[in-house]
Formats: sequence, structure tokens, C-alpha cells
Amino acid sequence: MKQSRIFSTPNSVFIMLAAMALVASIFVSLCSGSTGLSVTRTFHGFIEGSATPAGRIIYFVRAPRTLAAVLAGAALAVSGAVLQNVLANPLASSGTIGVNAGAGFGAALCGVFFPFSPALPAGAFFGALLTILIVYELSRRVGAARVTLVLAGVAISSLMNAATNSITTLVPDALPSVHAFQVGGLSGVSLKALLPAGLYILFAFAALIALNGELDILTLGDESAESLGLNARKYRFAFLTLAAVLTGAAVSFAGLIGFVGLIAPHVARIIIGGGDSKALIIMSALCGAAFLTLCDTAARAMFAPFELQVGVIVAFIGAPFFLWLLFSGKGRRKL
Amino acid sequence: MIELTDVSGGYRGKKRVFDVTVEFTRGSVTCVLGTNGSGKSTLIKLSCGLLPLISGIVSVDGVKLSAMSRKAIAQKIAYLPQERDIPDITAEKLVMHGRFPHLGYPRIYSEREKAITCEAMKTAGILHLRSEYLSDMSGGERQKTYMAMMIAQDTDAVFLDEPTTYLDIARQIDIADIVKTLRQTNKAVIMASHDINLALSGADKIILMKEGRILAATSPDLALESGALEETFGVKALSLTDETGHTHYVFARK
Repeated sequence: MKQSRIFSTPNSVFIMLAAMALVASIFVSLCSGSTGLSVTRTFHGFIEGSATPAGRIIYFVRAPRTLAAVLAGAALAVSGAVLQNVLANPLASSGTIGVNAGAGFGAALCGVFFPFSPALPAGAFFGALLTILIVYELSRRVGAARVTLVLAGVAISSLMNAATNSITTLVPDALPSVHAFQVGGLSGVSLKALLPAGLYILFAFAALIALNGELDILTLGDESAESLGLNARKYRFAFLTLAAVLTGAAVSFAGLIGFVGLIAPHVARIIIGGGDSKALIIMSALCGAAFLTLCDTAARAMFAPFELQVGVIVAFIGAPFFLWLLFSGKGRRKL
Repeated sequence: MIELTDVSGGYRGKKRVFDVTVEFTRGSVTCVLGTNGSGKSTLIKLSCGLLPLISGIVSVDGVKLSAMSRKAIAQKIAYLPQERDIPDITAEKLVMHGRFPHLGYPRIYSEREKAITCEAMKTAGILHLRSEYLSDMSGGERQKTYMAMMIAQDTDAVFLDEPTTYLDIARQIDIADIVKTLRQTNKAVIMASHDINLALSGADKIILMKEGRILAATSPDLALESGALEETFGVKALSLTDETGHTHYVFARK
């Protein structure tokens, strides 16, 4: 157990701790914002409901925003974990292999032709799925070297972003806020937009937990999986589809947030080790959700009343962290 | 228990094995020998249903492989690939995955499954490594862990693709011992190998392959006496007898 995990405590303990960290970050997020509300007033507002001004801020402004951060963080992190396992590539994530960009293109296209909120996550999903399948097919043909997948992702990302940019230039209303979308931002997110996306995310999450045994087997590699009686092609397609559902739903309301999907699964792996997909999925979700919630809180609070886009904070924290992960040896063996 | 009749197959529609007819029986070890690229691995994958047939029939106990589900095949046939990724997983979890084809949904690992896993690790001699991660193991330990997974899978037929390649001599002997144990438990063991001495001393039957065809399928003694072995590899065999009366072979250029 030299490198694979750093502690020998049971996974359930770490999952409990991560869940507590998430609850704490949600609390911090609800308490902070451009209107200074004390902790007690936040609490009262929460209890009293939308009748009081504090309650209105909590229920109509902060709660949807916090919920959005939790959902997007969890969804991107879990899709990253699944992509890394299924593609047997630790560099995979919806950001690195171009799936975010594909989802963005799908969302923009959908915004032109079907401009109503439940359709947006579906459009983003089809964009994400299309990209995953293109990248996977391309990399499979050339032997799926780890870097090839990422390089293919870079190319697909540029292509999809170019397409998105063309659409948003020609049809400015295709996406709610083009700038926020491209950096990744949660300002102005509404419960109405969150509801369908949230349902997609919950569905994919439940399906992944239900199929965790199959994911364990698929992670062993195609030939081992097949010889253990798993139809590798079929299940890989199923898992890639679920990853696309998660990415598409998150991108539809949060825009192109990178790094969460790459970092959170690695942190989860360092804490709980490999070989248990269920624990990995839960841990990634908790880490991703807590991380994005805190980043969004920082984005709102640091320069209040001005706001940064959450994607900016994620990049400021995520990029150095990923470099540290890459060069410190903590994750090097797997990278 | 496994019969191949006029089997041809290969990758992406290109034949690598041509019109092979052969049978593998329970309680015996069959060694597939041949030069690199002679179709050993292809033959094994075709026999396991891991590659689609181009023509011919593979049947397991009289049932066509093509009519069986992946899961049903996995209950009858285990397969150890030649090259694998190194999954980030402990030995015990990997060996436990051997029980996967026998479990319904949801997959609950009962005491019985745990006992089988434990027994399999004992047989493969890796019980002391149970909580080690595969990534931290030596090549030999990893190979034995995969053997333990196959033992836990508890199939009637076991296919091994070059199980001793890249291993040191002591580890090669360990693997040969595990193969003997599998044979004693009445399994059909089929392995592709480059280790001719292992084949001659441990196998009941030798299949010699060249350019995708079977040159000879016979006992180790006959393979030598008939000169088929020498012909397959283009070498000559010299026999040496040690003080215990065992015969060993060395091979030299013709």
C-alpha cells in the first residue's frame, strides 16, 4: 500500500468526513454574498422562508446558486472519474478530452432551435455524447495511447469552441451569457434551469451506483472484463453515455468549467485508493461538489460587490494543484 | 470438453488461423507451441469466444459457443491475456472479481464467495499479499494473483496466453505448479507458450502451429520423435538425462 492510498482507515470514514466538509462548504456558501448577512440572520432567513428580505435572498439568490455549484461540481467530478476508469486514462476528464466543449456546442445549437430550459441539458448531452464517441473512436484506431486521447481532445475542443463561437456571434441569444458560459459561471442561475439538469444528474448518478460492479470489472481492461463475462463494448458505451449525461447537464447551466473533473477524482483516488468504483464515485462527487461550492463562494465574496466567474477561481486553484499532483509524485504513478 | 471444427478467424476480417480442428479435454494440459506470429494467441482467443469466428464451429460440452451469452461462457472458460493494464486494486479484490460471472444482481459477495476467494489465493500462494495493491507487486506476484482470480472463477477450461513470459525461473516453476494443481482438479488447461521444456515436461498434449495452421497435435514424446517440433522452429533437439533420470532438452540451430 505504498502509494495507492495514504491512509488505511476504512473508506466509509473518509466518505463521512467528505460529506461533512460538503455540508460545511454549503453553509459557508449560504452565509456569504454581496449583501452582508450574519450567520444568525442567514439561519433565521432560512427558517422564516421567503416572507422576509433575508429569506428572499437565501431562497431566490443564494440557495439556487449553491445548489448549482453542488450539482455541477458533483456531476463534473463523477463524469471525470468514470471517463478515467472507462478509457483507462488518468488524464481523461470532460475538460481535457473536449467533452465540455462538445456539450457547449450542443447547448448553443439547442439554444438556437429549441430555446427553452428543459431542452438545453438534452442538447448539451447530445453534444457531449457525440464528442466522447468521436474522441474514443479516434483514439481506439491509433491504439489509444494516453497522450493521443488528450491531443485528440485538444483538437475537438478547438473545433467545438469555434462552432459555439460562430453560433453565439450569429445568434447572440443562443446562450444566456456568452462570457459566463465560456469561462464557467453560476451567476444568474435559476431554479427553473436547475430542475431538469438536476434530474438528469441524479438519474446518471443513481445508474452509476447501480452499475458499480460492472464498472469495477470494466476497469480491469477489455479482455479481462470479457473473460469475466462482461460485454465490454456494451457497458463502455453505457458508461460513456452516463458521463455525457452528467457533463451535458452540468454544462447546460454552469458553462465550461474545467479542472473540477480532472482534479476531484484524483483527490478521491489518493484518499480512498482504487478498485472500488462505488466509493470512488461517491468520494469524487463529494470532493467536486465541496470544491466548486467553495470556489463559487470565493468568486462572490473576494471582491464584493464585484463578482468573478467561478471558472476563474477554479483555474487559479485547479491549475497549480494539478501541476503539484503531476510533479509531486502523489499521483505521478498514475499519470 | 471444447471442440474446434474447421475454425478460421483473425482480426478485422483478416484470417490468422486457418481451418483448425482440435479438441481440449478435462484433466489435461495442452500446450500450444509455435513461432511468433504463428497464430497461438489467435487460436486461444477464438476458443474462448473473444474473437469472432470467420468460419467453423467452437462448441463447449456440445453447445455452440456462438449460442452462449458472455456470462455463460465465463462460467465455463477462464482466460488469462498475455498483456494487461495494471489496475489500481488490491489482490483480494481482483481475485474476488473472479466470482463475477457466478453472481446475480445485485452483486453481494457472500461468505461462500469470500471462502472461495481465500482458497484460490492459498492455491496460488499469494494469501500473504491479499491487501497489497497490484501496482506495488513484482511481475511474478501479479501473474500469480491473476492465476488466483482464474482459480476463483472456477471454470472447467482455463486458457493461459504465455503465462511464464517475462518471469524469472523460480516464478516460472511456481506457475507450472499452479498449472499442475489445475490439472489435478480435472480442468482443461490450454496454454500458449515459448517454454518448450515446460511443455515437454508438463503437458499431456502439444499443438504445434505454423502460419496459422496446426502442424501436429500429439503427445510430447511423439512431437519430439517425429521431428515435428524441430521442424516447427527450425532447430535440432538434443536430449540430456540428469542423475535422477529426468530427460531435459536443449535446442540448437540446425
